[in-house]
Amino acid sequence: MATPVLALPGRGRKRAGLPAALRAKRRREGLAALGFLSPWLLGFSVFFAYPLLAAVYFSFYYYDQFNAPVWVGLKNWDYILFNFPDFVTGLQNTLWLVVVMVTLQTVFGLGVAMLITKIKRGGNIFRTLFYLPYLAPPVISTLVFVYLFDAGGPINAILAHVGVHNPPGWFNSPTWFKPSLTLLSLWGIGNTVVIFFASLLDVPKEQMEAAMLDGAGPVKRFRFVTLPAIQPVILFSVVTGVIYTMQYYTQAIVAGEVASGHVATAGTTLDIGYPLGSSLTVPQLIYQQGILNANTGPACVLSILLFVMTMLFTLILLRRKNGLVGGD
Amino acid sequence: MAAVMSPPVTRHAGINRTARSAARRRRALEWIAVHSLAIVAAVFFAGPFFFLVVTSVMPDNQALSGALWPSHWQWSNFRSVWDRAGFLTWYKNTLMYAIPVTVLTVVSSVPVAYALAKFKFRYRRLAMIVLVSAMMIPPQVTVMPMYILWTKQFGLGGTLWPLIVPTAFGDAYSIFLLRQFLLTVPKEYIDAAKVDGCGEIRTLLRVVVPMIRPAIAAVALFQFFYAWNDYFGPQVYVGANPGNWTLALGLETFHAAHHVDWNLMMAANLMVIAPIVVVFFFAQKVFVEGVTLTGVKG
Amino acid sequence: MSHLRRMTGSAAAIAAVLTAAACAGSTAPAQQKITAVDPYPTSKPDVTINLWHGFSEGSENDAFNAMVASFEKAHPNIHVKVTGNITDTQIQQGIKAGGSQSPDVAVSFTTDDVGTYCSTGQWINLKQDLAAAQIDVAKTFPAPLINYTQYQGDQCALPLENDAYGLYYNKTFFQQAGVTDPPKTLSELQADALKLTQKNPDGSFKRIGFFPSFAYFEQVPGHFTSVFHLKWQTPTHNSLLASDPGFTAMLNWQKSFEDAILNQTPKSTAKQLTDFMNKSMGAGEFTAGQNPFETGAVAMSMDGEWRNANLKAETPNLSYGTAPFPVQDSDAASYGGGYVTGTVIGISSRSAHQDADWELVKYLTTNTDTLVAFANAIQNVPSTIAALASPQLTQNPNFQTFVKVSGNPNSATTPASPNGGQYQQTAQTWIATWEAGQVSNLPSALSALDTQIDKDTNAGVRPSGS
Repeated sequence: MATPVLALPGRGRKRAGLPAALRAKRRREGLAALGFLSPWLLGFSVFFAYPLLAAVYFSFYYYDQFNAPVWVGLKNWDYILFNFPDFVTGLQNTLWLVVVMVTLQTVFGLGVAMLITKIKRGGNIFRTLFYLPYLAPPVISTLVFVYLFDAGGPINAILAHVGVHNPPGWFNSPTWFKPSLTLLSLWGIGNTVVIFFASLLDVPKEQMEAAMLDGAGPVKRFRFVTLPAIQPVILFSVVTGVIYTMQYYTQAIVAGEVASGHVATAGTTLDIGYPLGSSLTVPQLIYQQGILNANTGPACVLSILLFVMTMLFTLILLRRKNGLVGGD
Repeated sequence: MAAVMSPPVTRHAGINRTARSAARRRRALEWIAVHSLAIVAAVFFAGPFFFLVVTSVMPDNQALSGALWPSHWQWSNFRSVWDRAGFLTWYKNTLMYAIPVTVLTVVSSVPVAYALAKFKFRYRRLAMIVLVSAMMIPPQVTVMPMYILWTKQFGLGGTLWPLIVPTAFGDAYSIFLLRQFLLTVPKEYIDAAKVDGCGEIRTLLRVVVPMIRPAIAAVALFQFFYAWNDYFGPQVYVGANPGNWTLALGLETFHAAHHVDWNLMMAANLMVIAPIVVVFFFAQKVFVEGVTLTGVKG
Repeated sequence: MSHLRRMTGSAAAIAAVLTAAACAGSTAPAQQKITAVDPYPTSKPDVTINLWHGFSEGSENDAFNAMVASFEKAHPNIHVKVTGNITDTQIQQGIKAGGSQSPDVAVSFTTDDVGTYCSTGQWINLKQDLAAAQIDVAKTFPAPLINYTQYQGDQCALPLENDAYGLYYNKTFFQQAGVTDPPKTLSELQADALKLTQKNPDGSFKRIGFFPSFAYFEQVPGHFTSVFHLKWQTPTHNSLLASDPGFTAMLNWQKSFEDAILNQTPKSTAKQLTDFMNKSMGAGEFTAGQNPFETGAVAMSMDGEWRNANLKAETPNLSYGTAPFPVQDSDAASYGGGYVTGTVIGISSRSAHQDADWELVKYLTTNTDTLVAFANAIQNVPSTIAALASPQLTQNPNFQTFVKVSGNPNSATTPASPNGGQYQQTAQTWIATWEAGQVSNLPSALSALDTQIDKDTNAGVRPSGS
């Protein structure tokens, strides 16, 4: 791991040409850095590195968290990858959310951000208004939305007033569950808007004015000036959006549970995926297998798969250019 | 624009007037378009809050009757929620979770961020890679072994300790945010302090910390809200122990087995959101700066 | 120190942690030996028992606490710390976590989990305790209740109150439609349901006689076990839905029932039915006054005996009757039975004072007076033969219906599986696709379902021979 390696900064590779004083300073800095970093490195080893390795270990065992683990070889892997249709359903749902929800979040977030740049008076109130939903605890926003879209709830009542007497089943319909979730996620878009808003303010004014003088209309100005300028921010937002969508959990499980009318109170079994598996996501399966069913092995297989999927996209954020990490 | 292309004519004044009024008309149209869109968006963002508030004061039989306005304002709903077994405990537990997490995160993350931003050492890039990865890994990836470790090895199942203790070792997202802010602090200040004979720790406490106060405030707020809103962590660790439930858990099971009173549920929701809104109004700037700094969605 | 040495060093450290984790299961739970009739007499030192239960409503809690209080009075040296509104998952997590916070005695609402409690050893086998206390199980509890509290010969739970299912019908609607008696066969049920259904001219529903759906609250497939004599599993827990004619009969019954309701003029679409059901169910099964039977959206429904208590509290003016659930036409002789399940209680193998725990469990499950008082308070069927015969038991006919169902030899329950109720859950999830009309070849779909259930069991249960 990183710990012991970091202990000896500047060693190994020859640092020819560096004056002795500078080298000494480097070493001092290295040691100080190690001092400051060590609690975190310890924490990382215990709370990230260890569980990752232990998950690999447990993925080869049957372990009910009560009796001693039993070696089962590749059985858990075989089960999850080839004999567990819920995993496929979870992946399909995630794919849907990645394609539809992340796209709409980006477009809508950018739209609202651009709207804000146009509003001069009353902009403050508006900004507060769109940011507040983001701060609402996910459990609460989900409960509110399930209530709003309930068959006997306010949205359908309003729809009936305007002549829609055959509204969709929203959170009770396998077709409409994810679109309803998407609406919920658009409601809580505040953070993305702030990020886009800040990047829009950074679009070079001179370029914009030059384009205007050249006679470019708003669409062209957006296409050839704004978009290239904020393109890194958009990419970044999409990538983190995809990563967070793969972790989608609270809203999906709470909405499914509450809409089903079978909230896991005493005497009921938690039925994730309601309706018809449309709310199922991989993190929920980890919770179901590992915590609810106390079946550690399959849960760890799912954990490792989720880790791999996350890291694939995290690599984009780790690029040297335009990444989060920066150069050496 | 249009005027530039048009052939030269003698009556300049007239042309100018038409062009100007066309521009004005366009601007007026744009103003109308922008503001009507803004109103639509405002209704979208405010609507759920409106129904949250309105439903929370509805009488028992009105919620879910499709009513859009309370037939009479039943303020006692808030009282009922407050008196209902558990609510106060959940509130207390949530604070017992959020406050230590906030304090520990700040204390443990500042030195790490400082080292990552201001010190030159080999493997700094590697450390950053590890940091960003840790930031992106969902809790579900590590939960099983940690759950087993905490509950079986340390016997801390049913408590919030498994969620509090790790924050004493630095929180990746907070470190990242602080580091981004620290990058903007000129190194000369720090060097000057060192020239004055300050040790590393004194430099950190006397010079660096006062300069990054806004970032510390942002980290503290984000972390507090993270814990306040957290659902998965408490569900895993204290789900089995109602005495230690936090608000996020309690609210969802608020419909005890035999009652789903939406009006009371909305009243409870309102009582949980209210402190957040109040804090937000006081610290709006801190938030926006924090978000912009990382560009990462929390 | 070389790079390689450092690497091996950290590898060794990791291996050590992993081994520690691997040994996590080694804190072996043990069963304490109990030989005395009264293993924890008042002469013994004070002890506190953690008792977890699932009752959540105020009146249920009060009744349960009253029962516990009377126990504490009889055993002044045993104190009981009661925690309510607990799910089975929480009980299992609590037992696994161990420690002073964990439950010593637990009350579960889900008989489906008895298999899990027994097969993993989380709850101790009470055979020796019962023998020491000279309690003859067969003479104390009705037969179906003994069935669902044991697993492969292990009596690791005891019944604490019983739930029986039957038909609830709205007497006002019956009178309006000219139906005099509750239906006794499924075809009578269908005929009555058609008479009781009211539609708008466009085919949408105003009221339905009976929801022909397994997604309707208590009408889950498991609750039809007695009606269609469902077998569910072989004794070695292989799923047999494809080869069980009862299961296919149940599915076909649902389909033809639904078709009949839809085809009744004015014709309705399947979506209109689903919409109506979602709308009626929207508020949740237990929202006060919002249950479809309470609002009058449905005229007949299958429900448990405890619904009596809800109806009494929430819609006292509703005129309704209860009866055993109708049976198949070819099987009229079995009328009178129903699905039975119940609340069960067990002792954690992690508990350090199982002698005191047993005193509590023995008292709660066999004391006739407190059982009857508790049954009356929460409107559950009592769980001992003596309590069932008690003259103190509520004589209300709507309640007595279920007392009789509970004692009927044709009553049945779902079999215990080491994988809990997952087999029913999977079947129920699949049935949603059947109801949605997505199943074209039923036999092959059922075989696939059997295979999946067996795979889940295989992955979720300790490998045999270890």
